[in-house]
Order: sequence, then structure tokens, then C-alpha cells
Amino acid sequence: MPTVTIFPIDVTTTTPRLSQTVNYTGSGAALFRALSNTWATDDPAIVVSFAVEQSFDGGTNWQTMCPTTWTPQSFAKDGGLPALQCTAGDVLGSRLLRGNLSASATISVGVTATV
Amino acid sequence: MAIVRGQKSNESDANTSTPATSWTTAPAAGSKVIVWLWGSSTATPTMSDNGSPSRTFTLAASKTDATNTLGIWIFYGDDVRPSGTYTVTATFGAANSFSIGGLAYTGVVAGGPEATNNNTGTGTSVSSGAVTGTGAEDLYAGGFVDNANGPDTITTGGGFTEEFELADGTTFDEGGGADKIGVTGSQTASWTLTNSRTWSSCIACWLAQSVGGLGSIRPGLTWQRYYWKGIRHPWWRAAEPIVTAPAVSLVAGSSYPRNPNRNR
Repeated sequence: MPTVTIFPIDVTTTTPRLSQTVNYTGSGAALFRALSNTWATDDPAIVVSFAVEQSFDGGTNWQTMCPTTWTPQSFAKDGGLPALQCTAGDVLGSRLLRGNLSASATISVGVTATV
Repeated sequence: MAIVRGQKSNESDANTSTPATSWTTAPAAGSKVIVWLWGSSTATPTMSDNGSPSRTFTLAASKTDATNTLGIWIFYGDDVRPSGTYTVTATFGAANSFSIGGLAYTGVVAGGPEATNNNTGTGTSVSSGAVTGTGAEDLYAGGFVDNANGPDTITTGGGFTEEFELADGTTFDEGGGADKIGVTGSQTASWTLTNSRTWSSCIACWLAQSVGGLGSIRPGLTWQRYYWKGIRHPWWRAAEPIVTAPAVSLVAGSSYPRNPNRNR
């Protein structure tokens, strides 16, 4: 499965950033992981909100599929930056996915997707 | 009343302090929602949904492993009232690896389980321990977490249906959630792993909703029309077998007997 950067590392604020879309077949897992060069020293009081959104009509309408929050200086079990893995519980098949990224205070962060 | 599975949420595995799971199609209003949650903590989280009104979820069963800092929790919420994209969120005091997923059911009694159990061990065979349902039909929900640091193949046993599963303990914690409906008596959730792990497991079971004490009354017919002064109305005399009328009492000023269910 290819890994693509859906959000390059960039200034992120309370204003949501919406990513490019990726195709998802509706089965198996889609993995999203934070990107940052300063995560280990960023303020842990900042809350980074990331949600995977899905669309069944080619991108006209979007709904939240998997929401989560990440905080600087917290890491994944494998030692990497925090991740979110999302697996559809429905049987509605193929859809588009995109990311919705924001933060409670200004921080430089991005996200990759492996779908 | 038969227990029926409703809508299932999207499984979410995340490194967070607020694991959350959302439904693509919202559960039917009034459903009971069971949520499986496992991950790297021994603390019991709080859990609530974003319905209107919001429901606070209650812990039904759990098992934690202090040595490996792991936990498996099964929560339930009653009479959910989804509004918008239905989401259930757990809150821990610190960010760790967590997996969460939920499933809605109809036909299950409101409130806590009738029985729970938990178990722990090391090996390739995971067992929740047995619980005994006492109804004509029960809902059984079991889950587990283990200390894998790599992938496994997980096979669910005991006649249970795997609802949620994470079969790779590299980035998140390996574990799963399964259920079984349409049966009663002693049941045990079990899983087989391809590698020996130290695991923790738990299970809970709930009764099906009762159809009530006047089960012979046809839908839409009130008990007063069925029992008149404690005597079954002749309309039904020819159509149905004779049953014993329940104990009734008279309401002051009325010749109508009181609904015996109101005295419960």
C-alpha cells in the first residue's frame, strides 16, 4: 500500500486544513500518521485534532469516519509519531477519504496516509 | 423479543487520550450500544456519546494487566439518541495506544449485564472465562488484549462473531471484540493466536427484553379487553388456549381491574 503525504508539514491553527482525497475500498485499514520536525519539543498542552472524513458521492458531501486527537510529546507504541488507523464498520464499499486537521494553538504539523 | 444486531461503528486505533469511534450510519434511536475498548492503560476511562441527549456509558466488564500496562473494557449505553454523525468517545488521563469500536443492538434489556467474568493467561489460547445467561436468549460480548509487539493471525472461537480486531501489536495494541446472540446458558469467548502472548480478557452477558407478563395478548390489544374483571373475554376463548389470568385488583370507583404491571 502506498504512503502519501496528505498534509505537508505546515502551520496549523484552529482553522481546519482539508487534505487532498484518497480512494478507499471500504475494507481493510487506512493508516494516518502525524508528520512533524518538532513534535518532541512542541507544547504538550496543544491539542491537534485530526479526523478522517468520508464521501460516498464523489466529494460533494462529507461525514466524519474516524476522529482523534494527538498531543505533542506523545508517541505511538512503535516509537513513531502518533497515528490513527481507521477501518470501516459498514458494508457500503468504495468511498473517498480526506483528512481534516486543526490545532488548539499554532503548531507545525502534517499527516501521511497509507491506504 | 429477539436480540438483533444494528449498525456497527468504524474501528478506530489511535495514539490518543480520547479514543473515539463513529458510525457511518447512526444506530436506531433507543438502541443499546456495546463498546469494546482496549489498549495501553490500566486506568478505567469515562465514556459518553454525542447524542441528543448525550448518554453516559457504563463499564460492564474489564480486565487489566499491570505488568504489561494493558486493559480491555466493555462499556454499554442505553436508549441512545443519535444526532448527526454518532460518535462515542472515551477519555483517559494520558495519551496511549487504544482501539475502540461499538455495535448497536435492539431487543436487549436496559441496564447492566446479568453476569460477567474475566481471565488472564499466557499462550496462544485466549479465554474470557464463562458466563451463564439465564434468559431464553441472551447477548454475550467478550474482548481481549495482549502484549504482542508484532503481527498475529487471530481466530475467534466459541461460536462468537468477531466484530472488531487488531491483529498487529506493532503500532497499536493487539486485541479484539466479539459477540454472540440467539443462545443462552454458559458461554465463553475465545480466540486463538499464532504466537504465544500474555493476554487479558473479559465477557458480559445481557438478557433479551421480555415481551411482558401478558404475552398471550395480541399486539395492539389492551389487557383490559383481554381480561374483563379477571376473566378472559370470550372473543379469545375459541381462538387461543386457556391461560391463567394474572392477579388483579380493583381501582376505587371503577369496575376495571388495575393493570398488574403497574404494581411492579
